Amino acid sequence: MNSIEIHDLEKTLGSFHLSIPHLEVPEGYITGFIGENGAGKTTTIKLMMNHLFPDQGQISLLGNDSRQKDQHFKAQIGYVGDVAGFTIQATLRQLKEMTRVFYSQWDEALFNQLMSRFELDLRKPFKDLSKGQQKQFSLAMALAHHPRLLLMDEPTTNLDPLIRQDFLDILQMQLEQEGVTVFFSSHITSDLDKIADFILFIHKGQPLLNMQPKDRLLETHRLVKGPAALFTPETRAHLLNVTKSDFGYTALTTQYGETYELLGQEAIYDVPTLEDLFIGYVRGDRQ
Amino acid sequence: MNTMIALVKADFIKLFSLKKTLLLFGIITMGFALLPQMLLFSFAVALYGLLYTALAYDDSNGAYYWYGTLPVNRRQIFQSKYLFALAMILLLILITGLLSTLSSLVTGNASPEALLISMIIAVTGGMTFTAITLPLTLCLGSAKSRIYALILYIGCFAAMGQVDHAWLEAISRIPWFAFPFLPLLFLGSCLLLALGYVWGIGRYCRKEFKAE
Repeated sequence: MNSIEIHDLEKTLGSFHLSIPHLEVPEGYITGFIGENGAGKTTTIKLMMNHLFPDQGQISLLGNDSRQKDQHFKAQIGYVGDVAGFTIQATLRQLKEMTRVFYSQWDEALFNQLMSRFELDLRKPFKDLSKGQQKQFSLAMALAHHPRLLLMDEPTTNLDPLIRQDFLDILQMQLEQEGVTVFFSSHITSDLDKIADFILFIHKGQPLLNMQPKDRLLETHRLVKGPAALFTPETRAHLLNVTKSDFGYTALTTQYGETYELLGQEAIYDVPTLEDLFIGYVRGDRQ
Repeated sequence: MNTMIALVKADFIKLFSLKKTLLLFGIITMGFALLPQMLLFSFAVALYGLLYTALAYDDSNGAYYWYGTLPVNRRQIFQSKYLFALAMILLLILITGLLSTLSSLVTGNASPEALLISMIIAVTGGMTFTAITLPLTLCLGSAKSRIYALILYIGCFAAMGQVDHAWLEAISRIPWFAFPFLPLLFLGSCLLLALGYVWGIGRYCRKEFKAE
C-alpha cells in the first residue's frame, strides 16, 4: 500500500508552477524529497495539508482524498516543519493540552519520554526555546500520537550538527519501532544520505528523476574523476554535468561499464553522494 | 472530547497564555466597569482587545499550520471561532455586569432596568462587532481586517457617545419589551452575525495560506 499518492498535480503560484504527474510513496519507508530553495517542496507539502489547493489533480493520504470533508484520517498524520504554528507565548504544557485532546492514540508516556530525552521543560513558553528545541518539541508532539505518516518540511534546517544528529537518531529509532512512513523534504542532502530509503529530486517545480530506492540510485551512478587528456567527445557522451579543472574533470555517469571501457584505470570511480547526484542533475538540466 | 469544544478550549488556552495582554485589558476593563455608567465602554474595550488579540495572534503565529495538522476540517475551525466569540461575549457581559452591579450597589445608584438595557446593548454591540470582525479576520487576515475593525470600532465608540446617561434613564423608565427599538437592534445584530457567517464560511473553506 502507498501512504501518499499524487496524480496529475498542477499548481501555479504567480510565476512558479508545480507539476507532479505521478508519485507513490510506499508505506513504512522514509522518502527523501530533495530540492533547492524554491523548488516546490513546501508547496507540495502545503498541498498535502490543504493549506493550498491544486489547480488540477489529486492527492491521496493513507488512502483518503486530502480534500475530503471528513478529515479524521489526519489523526494518523504527524507534521514537523520550519513553522509549527504554535502560539509562541504558550508554555509547552499548554500546547500539549491544546493538542492531545484531538488524538485518541495520544501516548503520554512516550511524550514524557521524548521530553526527557530532549531535556525540555514543560513550564517554558515556546518562544523561549532555541530553534533546535522548538523542532525537538514539534517532533515529540508529532510522534506522541503514533502517526502512520509523518510529513516533515525542512525539519533540520537551522539546526546545529549535534542537535541535527540527535534529532535524526530519535526519528530513526521511533520509525524502526513503529514502521512509520516518513516524507522528509530537505535541501540538506547529508541528512537523507543517512536515513532515507527512497529519493525524489524536485527542481523548478518538477520531479527530476522518477522516485527510486536510494541504494539503487547511488549504485547506478558513479562520480568519475579523470585526466583532461582523456576527455574526448566519445567520453563526453557517457557523462553528465562535467566540471573541468586544470588537472582534469569530474562528472557523473550512469554508464559505468562503458565509461570504464573507455577510461580504464586512468580515472577514479567513486560512489556519489545524494548531493553529487542532485547537483549533477540540476546542472545537467541547466546545460 | 467533542471536537468543537476542544477547538474552543484551545482558543481560550491561547488567550490565557497571553498573560500581559490579558492583564492589561483586565485592568482597563475592571477600572471602567467600576465607574458608574461605564459598563458599555468597559465591555467594548474588553471584547475588542481580547477577541481581536486572539485572532491576530493566531494569524501572526501561523496557527493554520497547527490547525492543518489536526483531524478537523475548515468548516469546524470557522464554526469554533464563532462559538469562541459568543462564549467571550457571554463571559465578558457577566464579568462587566457583575462589576457594574457591585459598583452601583456601593454608590447607591442601583438601577436594575438600566443595567439590563446596558447589557442588551452591549450584547447587541458585541454581536455586531463579531459579525464583522470575525469573518473579515479569518478570511482576509488580521492586517487587512484591522483597518476595517478600527473604522467599525471608532464608529461604535462615536455612537455610544450619543447614548448618554439621561437617554438611558429615559429608556429605562419604559418596559424594554414594549419599546421595539432594542429588540429590533438585537435581532439586527443576530441577522448580521448570520450574514457574516454565511459570507465567511465558504471563503474560509476555499482560502489558501500562501505565506510562510
